[in-house]
Amino acid sequence: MEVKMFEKLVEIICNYVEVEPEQVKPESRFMEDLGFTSFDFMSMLGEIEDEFEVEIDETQAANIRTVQEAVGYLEQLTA
Amino acid sequence: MMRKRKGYPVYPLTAAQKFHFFYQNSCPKKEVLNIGTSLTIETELDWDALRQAIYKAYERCESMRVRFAKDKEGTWYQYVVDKEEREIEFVDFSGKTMEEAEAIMQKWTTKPFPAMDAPMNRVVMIHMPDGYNGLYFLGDHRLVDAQSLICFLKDIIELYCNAKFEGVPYPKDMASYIEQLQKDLAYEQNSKAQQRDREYFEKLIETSEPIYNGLLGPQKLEAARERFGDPALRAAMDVSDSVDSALDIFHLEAEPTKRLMDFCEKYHVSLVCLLIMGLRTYFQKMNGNEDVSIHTAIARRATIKEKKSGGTRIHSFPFRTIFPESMTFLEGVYKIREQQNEMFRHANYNPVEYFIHRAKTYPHPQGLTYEPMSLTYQPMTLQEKGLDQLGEIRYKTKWYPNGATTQGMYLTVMHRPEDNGLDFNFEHQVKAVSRQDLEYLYYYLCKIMFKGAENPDLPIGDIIRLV
Repeated sequence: MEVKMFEKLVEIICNYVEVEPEQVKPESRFMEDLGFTSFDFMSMLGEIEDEFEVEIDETQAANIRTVQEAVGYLEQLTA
Repeated sequence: MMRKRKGYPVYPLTAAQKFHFFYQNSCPKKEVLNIGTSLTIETELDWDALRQAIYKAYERCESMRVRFAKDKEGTWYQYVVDKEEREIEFVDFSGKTMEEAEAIMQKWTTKPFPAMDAPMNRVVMIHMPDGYNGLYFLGDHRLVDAQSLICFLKDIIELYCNAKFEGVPYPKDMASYIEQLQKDLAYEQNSKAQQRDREYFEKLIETSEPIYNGLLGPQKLEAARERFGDPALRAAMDVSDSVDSALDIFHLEAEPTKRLMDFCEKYHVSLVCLLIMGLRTYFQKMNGNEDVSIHTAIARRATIKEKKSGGTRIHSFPFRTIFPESMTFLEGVYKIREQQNEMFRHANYNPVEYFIHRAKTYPHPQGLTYEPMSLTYQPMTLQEKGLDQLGEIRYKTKWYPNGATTQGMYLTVMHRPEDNGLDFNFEHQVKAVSRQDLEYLYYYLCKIMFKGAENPDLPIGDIIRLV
């Protein structure tokens, strides 16, 4: 997992839910552990698209559960 | 054009606020936008410390200090005053029964706010007949929604706890209402994002005309077709000639609620997807149409700044599903998730523009609609956001209806923090929908959701026949 991408994603995550950056782990689940709602998550995708200059497929993104899966998905898009 | 009011800069209304103004204008009872609630806890309170916490919360929350004003042309504006200088009332309900105390607060909820230059909320410290103590809050929906209300009450609790108890941290700052307002207004100035959202919704509307599904079957649609002499009419009159409303609440216990939540976790869908699936399948069962639309509300609070900026942000759009009977329950739930995720990304679009475009695309007699109800799901409770600091102390929350609604039926589903069950709050026009109709809907809605959750691969048609 690319460390820089993980760190950037953590920074974005902390704009959406009240967690400290050190509480966000690769295995953290967006909904159950970090307290995301599906609206939070979909809104965050817009910011991720701008930040990483990628286009995200909503259907694929809906299956992402953990931060690690999100990083993996973004790595694929930016490869 | 107004630029300043009482020395304060003024701002135009947002699309979400205009939507509420639109509803209020069409309603003879101006209290239709009132939201009343009480929060009481089973402990003694230091009333002076609580009063100071309330003043501090006002100081920290711009949206609770907003006033409205209208210029000579009739355009409404808003401005934020620096300080709330009113006295915070205290009402002791000792000597009354609980029913009497609640009836008084219900009455408070039916009193409309002055139209201009006045506070648009009211906080009262209350001592209840059952010994519980706490707050009654009344707000105007143009400046408060369920999430901002909870956020404000949570702030009062945290400020109070910080002042009274050792080791309780001072709450983090609220976000600026004005900053968020300016962001919303910039979006509405024909921004690229707005153009993209408009394109999405206009395309969605133009796909094909929806069809109305009645709560008890196709009678209302048939009546509209007969009345207007149009056998192909697809919209119907859903409301009555009276806006008088009642609130009926149905409680789902903790164990069955857990079964629904387990389904959601297992298949990675939100509860609102399951609720929409249950409701739309009910209407399909009752009307025989695979094409079903209901209104759904979107809170539009994703970032922390949005969550903590107060005000009202809800946008409501029709949510349409066309599911053949051969589709499985789970496929339907996933399709709803997919459609909803897509809509979330365009939810800043002005709902009034949506309805204007739809009315132009499918002209039909005024007052007719395709949607028999509205759904709001409220995932946030006070327990997770503040009251946990009070330890094991028991508390009660109660919502008071304002007695009027412009919609036939509005369902709000909320988590009940006391026992982790769900409350189904049906606000409905008394003349349009009866308690008996709602019992019927609630019964079949639950049967459908549980049948589907237990047998996700069952086709919709089978579920309709089995329940």
